[in-house]
Amino acid sequence: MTGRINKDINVRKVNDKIAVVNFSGEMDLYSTPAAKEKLTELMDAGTFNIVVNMKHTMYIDSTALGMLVGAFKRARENNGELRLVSPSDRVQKLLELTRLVNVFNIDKTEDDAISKFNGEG
Amino acid sequence: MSIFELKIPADPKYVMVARMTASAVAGRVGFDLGTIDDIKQAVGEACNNAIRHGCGTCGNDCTEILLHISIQEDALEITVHDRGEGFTPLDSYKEIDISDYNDLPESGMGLMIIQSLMDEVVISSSATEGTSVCMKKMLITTTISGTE
Repeated sequence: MTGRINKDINVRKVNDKIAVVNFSGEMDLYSTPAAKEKLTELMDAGTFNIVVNMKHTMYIDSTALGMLVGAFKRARENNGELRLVSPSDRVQKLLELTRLVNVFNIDKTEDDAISKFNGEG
Repeated sequence: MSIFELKIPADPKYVMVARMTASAVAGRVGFDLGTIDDIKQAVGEACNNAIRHGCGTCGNDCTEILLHISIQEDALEITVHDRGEGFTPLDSYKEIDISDYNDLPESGMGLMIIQSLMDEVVISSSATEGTSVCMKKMLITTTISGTE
């Protein structure tokens, strides 16, 4: 079930293998199904190197964190990676609280993250 | 003691209303911004659990979640109650195991987050009465003493 038509999700394909997804606003039980759908669409199409920009994510709950973990695992299973960029202070606190800060690779900018996929890091 | 009560439909789209109500009251009480965000987070997680593991999984008449907020002398106490089928709560919810990336949990982090963010958490649950998550955040008062 899709939670809502989420205008807070923006997807940019860098190439066939790399995409950047921006999540703005609040990622919660209501908005997470739409976010999950976007990530699933990308991976179903063979894009497993995904940058999730969280600079403008003002709130995240455990449902959304779980969704990101699921996407992270699927990307890894397909020799890809899901990297986070610039999490807001609130998101950073939740990542630390759940220790997921030790799981996700976190970059300062989208370009930094993309360069890691390209082997420039 | 001041008391607020709010009933919201057990629907994900209205959890934000519960979060915002709790954070507005917490702001009025005088908590700092970081603590207000912690309270907002805890209430959101408790409402999520009420919907996902309470109201959404049983045949009881549980279409609503009750948010009860009590401003006490030394604390803000918030209870999220649902009339779902209940569960057996643990004394504490340990941090997640990240040693094996293949086994990372994709759910079940909510109660651990609540316990980490709030000062006291009491969970009571039964098949007939539903589940109550009672969370307390202590008010810290500072005394400024002058010199004589």
